[in-house]
Amino acid sequence: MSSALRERAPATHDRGAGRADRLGGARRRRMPRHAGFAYLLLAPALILFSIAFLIPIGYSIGLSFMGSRSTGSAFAPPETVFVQLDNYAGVLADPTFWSSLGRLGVFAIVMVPLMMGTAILLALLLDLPRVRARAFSRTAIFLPYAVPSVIAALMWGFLYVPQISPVYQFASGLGIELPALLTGGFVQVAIVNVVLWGGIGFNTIIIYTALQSLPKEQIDAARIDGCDELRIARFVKLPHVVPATLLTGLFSVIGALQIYSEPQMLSTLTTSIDSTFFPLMRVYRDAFAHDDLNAASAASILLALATVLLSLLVLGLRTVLARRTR
Amino acid sequence: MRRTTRAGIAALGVMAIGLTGCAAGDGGSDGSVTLEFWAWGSNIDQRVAVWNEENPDIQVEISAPASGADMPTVVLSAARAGDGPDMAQAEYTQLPSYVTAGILADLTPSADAFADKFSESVLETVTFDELIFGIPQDLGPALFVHRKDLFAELGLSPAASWDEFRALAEQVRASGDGDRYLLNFSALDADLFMGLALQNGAQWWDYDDDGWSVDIASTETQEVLDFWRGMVEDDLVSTYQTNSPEYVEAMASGRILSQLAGAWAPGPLMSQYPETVGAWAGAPIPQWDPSDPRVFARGGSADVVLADSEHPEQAIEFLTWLNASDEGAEGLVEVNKFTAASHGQQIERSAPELMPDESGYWPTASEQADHLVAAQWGPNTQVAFTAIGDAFGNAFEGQLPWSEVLPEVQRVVSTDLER
Amino acid sequence: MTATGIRSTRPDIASARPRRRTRGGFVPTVVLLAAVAYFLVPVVWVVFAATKTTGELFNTPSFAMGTGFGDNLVQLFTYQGGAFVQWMGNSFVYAIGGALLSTIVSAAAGYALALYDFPGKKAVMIGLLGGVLLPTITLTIPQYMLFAEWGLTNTYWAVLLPVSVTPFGVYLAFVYARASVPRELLEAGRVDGSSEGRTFGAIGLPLLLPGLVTIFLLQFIGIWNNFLLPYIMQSDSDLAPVTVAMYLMLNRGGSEPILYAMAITGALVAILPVIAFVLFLQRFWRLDLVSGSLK
Repeated sequence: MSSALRERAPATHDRGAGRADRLGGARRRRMPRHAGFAYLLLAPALILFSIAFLIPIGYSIGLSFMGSRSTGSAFAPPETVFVQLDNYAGVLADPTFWSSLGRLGVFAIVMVPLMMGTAILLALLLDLPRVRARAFSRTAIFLPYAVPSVIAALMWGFLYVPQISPVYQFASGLGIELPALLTGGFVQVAIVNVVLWGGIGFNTIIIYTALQSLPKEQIDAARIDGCDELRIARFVKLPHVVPATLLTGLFSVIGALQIYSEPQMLSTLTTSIDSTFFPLMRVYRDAFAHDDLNAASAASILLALATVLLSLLVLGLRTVLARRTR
Repeated sequence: MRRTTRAGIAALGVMAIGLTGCAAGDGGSDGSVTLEFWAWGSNIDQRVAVWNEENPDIQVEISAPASGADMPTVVLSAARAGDGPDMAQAEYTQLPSYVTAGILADLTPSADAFADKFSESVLETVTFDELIFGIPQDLGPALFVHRKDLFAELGLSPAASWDEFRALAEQVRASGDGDRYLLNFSALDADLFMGLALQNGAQWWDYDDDGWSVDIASTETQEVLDFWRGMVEDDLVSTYQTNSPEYVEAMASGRILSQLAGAWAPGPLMSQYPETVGAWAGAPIPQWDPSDPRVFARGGSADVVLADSEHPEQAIEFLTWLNASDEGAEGLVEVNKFTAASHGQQIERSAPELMPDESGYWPTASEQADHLVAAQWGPNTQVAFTAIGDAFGNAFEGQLPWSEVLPEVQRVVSTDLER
Repeated sequence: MTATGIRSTRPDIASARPRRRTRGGFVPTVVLLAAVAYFLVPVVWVVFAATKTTGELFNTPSFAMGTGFGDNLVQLFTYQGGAFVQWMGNSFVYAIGGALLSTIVSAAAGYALALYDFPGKKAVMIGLLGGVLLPTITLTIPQYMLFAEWGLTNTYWAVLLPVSVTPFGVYLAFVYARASVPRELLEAGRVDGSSEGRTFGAIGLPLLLPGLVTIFLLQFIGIWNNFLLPYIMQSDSDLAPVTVAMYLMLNRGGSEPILYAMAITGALVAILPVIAFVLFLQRFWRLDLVSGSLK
């Protein structure tokens, strides 16, 4: 179909619409002009999207309804059978699935507001008229964005060891006893910190960029009205960056739900992160350590559904808020 | 602009040609074969280089797509996708999972070339249902590798029994500033715990005509667990993750005095703590019944040929040379391996570089190898190791009662087996 | 710290009212610099740590130069027969190739969605939105299974194909095209007798360029930092990017030494090009594209 369109498309606009009518007939006439060229432009995206998204999704759904059953003897390869919803039931009945979801919830609820709050604060500070070392600060804040999370986790892994960490030495120099982050309940703090470190910069710059698009006259007007910087930030700048914040906030939520590399890297450094700590680590364990792609597919699909629902919720919130600010 | 786009597309085309050119080819045009060999062991590449020099017709390409515990995953998925190597290194613990997955070539028909080079118990570890599926490479009989300088300073000597071992740990804790530990007991070292259980007579997996069975929550294992629970709860061992910065710091600063390691230990210790040359010694591991010594293995691996290999004969030829020939055994000794082949163990070798004055190290290792207990690993050993790591980690952190550790591991492993 | 801080600023408030204007930036600057310190400490740490031998790493002060930098570099670049150069090269192939592909694909698709009407447009938009929301990471495993069946694993394409279409990239191109290419231009082109393809190449793409640079950069960094996809796809370590190589270097199992000094030097070498790249290209970013404040 697409090749036929590709040939027809140039003909349509090169030689006028009349020709197209003659060629196409009644059904063709309803086709908007130049649609063929649009399909041509879309083709690579659609083909690649099918290869990289649609077919794997379908395949994954298929896998989630299959299972391997041993055939009895010790060394005969197991056979693959249709198991209906067994994999889903198995995932939902597994307490480690729910505890990993619980930890993910705590992580996201703590991490995302901290990330966005800090990013907004830093963006507002960068946007203040009299602040010093602006360019340097902006660059330094943005720098961690260029550091892969695997490497970030390695660096922080060292900075978390009290005996050798400059952070701990600095704190104890000030008389503050920092807790060892890689033990017990503090490990969530350790993970949140690595993620914040890597993510705040990007969000700050996005929000800062949004601030820059605020018309200068609007700020000047507020200033003439006697607003101090705090009030300008609160009543002029903040409302202006709400849409951008919600958008990057949404990305942060999606990113938070996909957390994998940081805890995976840290898990070799601490006993507090087990192989089912976060849902994706659990999926990875099922797929690879347990060699059970079926259970892994079922869990992936449940997670994907949950993410999409949650995102739609955030998007809905955005629409409502956008309407209200308008 | 249009020109730029065209140039861009042209550049992509060039890239595409370059990319397909990068995919590894198989077999040369002159009738020689190229074998792909996945192995993570250090220095094996040196042996491969020697072989390639001598055998232009059978070239071996070695790569390490993953190491140790991650290896079966990579090999299994690649083999299933028809994308596997010709040969792979497999830890003894991992062999059953390959065998049950049906991805290995049966080497029994060619076994005459190498079988007599190994002791019966070693050969047994690569034999399943009377078929031979691998050529053993190295062994890791466990040794008590300790800081003899610090032992001398504190007036200590290695323990013969586990009771003495506990007393020794108490002495170490009581010495100095109280920041020293006799040993680090890591949740990551699931194979160590399994070895300790084996030493006490546990047999975790078994198979018969009806399939596999698993028995992890047994009395023998429970006894061993209780011993280590006591050590952990009484703060007699540290519980850092092996090779974490904390652990390396503690080792480097002499706050951890020993390891229950395979005979290969001097090599890694040497590369990691070069400052401690001369400070180490090896001794037999503690026993439950010193009159009947039982030794477990840590690590150790065999090499396997995959069923899908197009050149199995050449692969077997190479692996026989690498592991079972006289030249191969000598070569393995040269690169610091403790060979699985019996004649390799007899080779007179100088003391490890890490402990230049310990001429008794290798003889001790050979002697310990004679007491190796036979182990039956299961088709889902990796599942058990992950479960043990998780359960121990949670028990260390107080998230899981110690009494639940073995039932939990048993549950995870048997659920997986029944799948 | 807090106590001395209060003591030193109090007198100012009382006595120096007229100086208030110049002093207004003081507290914000201090807060900003504290944040800067937080963001820079790990990076500065890695610079110092890379100069140390394994021993020095654990027994010398963090911010003291070590004596092992040369040795670490030599060890790093001779590790596994000089594989580190290959790994860095692979990262560049993935990041540049993938970002280029995805930028071209996004530009074409975004342009079409923004400027043409055609049956099925709504379905594509909804699919796109779904794609933006979907955790791509959960697709990696089925992608691997399929690619293995198609014989694509252990080729560069195994990583390049999945990253070459990003719903987010298409979405950004769509937003940018809608804002910066007026439909009237297309009409004008048609009146002049120019083909749609020529209008796209000669008028559309130049107008899209700033947006495309942004998509390229976002993709470049995203791919450079990607770990899971290449980790799962490539079992041949010759095809590993530097992130996977770092992970493998640090997870070699208990029976192998863990080469922290070398790995940390590797980390430094691995982040330098991207940092340089980001700093250099910072000025070309149109991040208002992402912030949605594009007018």
